[in-house]
Amino acid sequence: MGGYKKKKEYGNSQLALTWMKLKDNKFAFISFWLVIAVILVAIFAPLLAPYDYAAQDYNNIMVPLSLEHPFGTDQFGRDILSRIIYGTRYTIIIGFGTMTGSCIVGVFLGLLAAYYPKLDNPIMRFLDIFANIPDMALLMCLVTILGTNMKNLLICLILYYIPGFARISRAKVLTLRNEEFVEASIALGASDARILTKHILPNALSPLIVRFTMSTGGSILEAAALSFIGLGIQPPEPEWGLMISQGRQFLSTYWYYSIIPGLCIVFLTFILNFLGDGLRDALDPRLNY
Amino acid sequence: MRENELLSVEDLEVKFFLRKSTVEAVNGVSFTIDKGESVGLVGETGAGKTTTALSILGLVPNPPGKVTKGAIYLNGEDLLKTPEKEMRKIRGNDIAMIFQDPMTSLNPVMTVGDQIMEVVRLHNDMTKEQAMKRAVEMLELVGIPGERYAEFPHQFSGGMKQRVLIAISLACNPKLLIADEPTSALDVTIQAQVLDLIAGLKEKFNTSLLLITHDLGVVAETCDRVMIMYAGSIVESGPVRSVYKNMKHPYTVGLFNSLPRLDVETDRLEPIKGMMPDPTNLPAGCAFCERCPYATERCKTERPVLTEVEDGHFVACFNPMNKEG
Repeated sequence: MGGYKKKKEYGNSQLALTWMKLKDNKFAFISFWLVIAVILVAIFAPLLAPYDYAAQDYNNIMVPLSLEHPFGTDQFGRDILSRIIYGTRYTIIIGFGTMTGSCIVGVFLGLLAAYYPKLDNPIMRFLDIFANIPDMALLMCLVTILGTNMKNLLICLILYYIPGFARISRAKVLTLRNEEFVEASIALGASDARILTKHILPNALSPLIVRFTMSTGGSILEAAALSFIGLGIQPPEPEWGLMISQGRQFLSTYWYYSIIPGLCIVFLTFILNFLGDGLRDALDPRLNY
Repeated sequence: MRENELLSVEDLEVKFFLRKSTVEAVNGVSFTIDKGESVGLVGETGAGKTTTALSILGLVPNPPGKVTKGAIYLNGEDLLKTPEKEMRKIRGNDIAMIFQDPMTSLNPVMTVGDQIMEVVRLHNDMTKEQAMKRAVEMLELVGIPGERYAEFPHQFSGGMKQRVLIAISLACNPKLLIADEPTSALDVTIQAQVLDLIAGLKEKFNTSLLLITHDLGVVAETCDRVMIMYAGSIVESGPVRSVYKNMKHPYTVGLFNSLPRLDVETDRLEPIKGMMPDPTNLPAGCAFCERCPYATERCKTERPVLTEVEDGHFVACFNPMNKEG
């Protein structure tokens, strides 16, 4: 019977349509592959990095850009290129880890709030508490209370991004729960859990995917900012924000020390935003052509 | 309970409690449907047809709606007293419903085959392969090639979507099929096809049918019995032939007069004058008395009940008409 599952020449699935539309958007398409490339760099960092990120070499301190050290070395003689390459690991884990965590929790809360009117006010008003404190103030307080390490940084960022996901999914579910196909599946005897996971969530996916990619860049910036003021990743780990902070004191003479990790953050945030933008257009069925 | 009886609705009353007022949507409706019988429920918009159907399935939106009185028996079991968990097993399995708008009644991101398979697996203990086979069978039964199993709803036309919905609703061999204006959103040529399909499959599976519509022609074509509903009450009911030939209630007469007829030479149609009464403030007497040309003082103060005027033909009126149609 599996034969009925195979693709037909007349008609494409929504996924195929999305892919086709994403391909047409050059910026988004290039960004998509660049994001994949960055993820690969993070996975294969030990193979790609020419030096150990923590290896100190006091014979080569503050070497400028050269063939041997393409991005130079820092005040301990550590190769900046290798540190950048290893740094992608932190950045990717923080970016995607934060989004995955807050997406799961936020969507769950949003679904409950929208589908069970009695839970709506308690959940959403509680999340408003987090959403209404300025971002840096909230994150700094939370990190200081919990203590500065990678795990706590992730927890704080997840908490910070939950309300956004909850609001988006709630808004979408509120419109979907009155759709006739939801009513129809209730009339066919489907349970609440089934309706939520099989009928409502798949239809609410596109704004969530966009929010996911768009906010990944944001969370990387937040993490870099926290590391910059010393509340995020601690030295000697090669986090990009931390590297900017360490290079700050040498900025007038050794500009590349701060600027290169800064450019890396800008670059990654840019491609993630382009990808999110492209996905938003590609997932919107009204922009069909 | 008669031996052949499948569904029996007794004195059903549904109210919607709004902030300032109470909408009396259904007021003391009683009827029965026999096994294999087709019954038409006719009335204008807002007469309470859909609410009646939804209360059979236990799906009256609550809040604000509530069934305040009455009983609904399916094979002798009171559905209003059945717990929600049991109701879920009845919905789709014993009672299935076809909704009005096929365009929005299918999940746009799920293949039609999977949507049929879903209801099959909800109510039967089947493996995926068996359920898939059943879904393909159902598709072919409603005249859609089985190869289109893996296609999405947007790749189907309106009439085909309605066929898919019919396939979904009949996939578990329900005892009662409720069709809520199944043809209103379709164009006339497709309407006939879909009605034929419903009638044919109903014969084949020996399913009872409650057809909700505002189209008297559709009822004449498909149904054995007809019930005319007005402002939440049944005003006239009986075998289609008897009601159409010998209509007794002034509202029924008004409905027929507002249809164009080919055999009678007229320049103008005769619509029923006035509007439906405000459902939050129904008159004490007959709900139709303000629009009725034959209303008497008695009609304004006393509510008429259904009385049998000829075999199986009931009418709720103090001054039933004697018009040969």
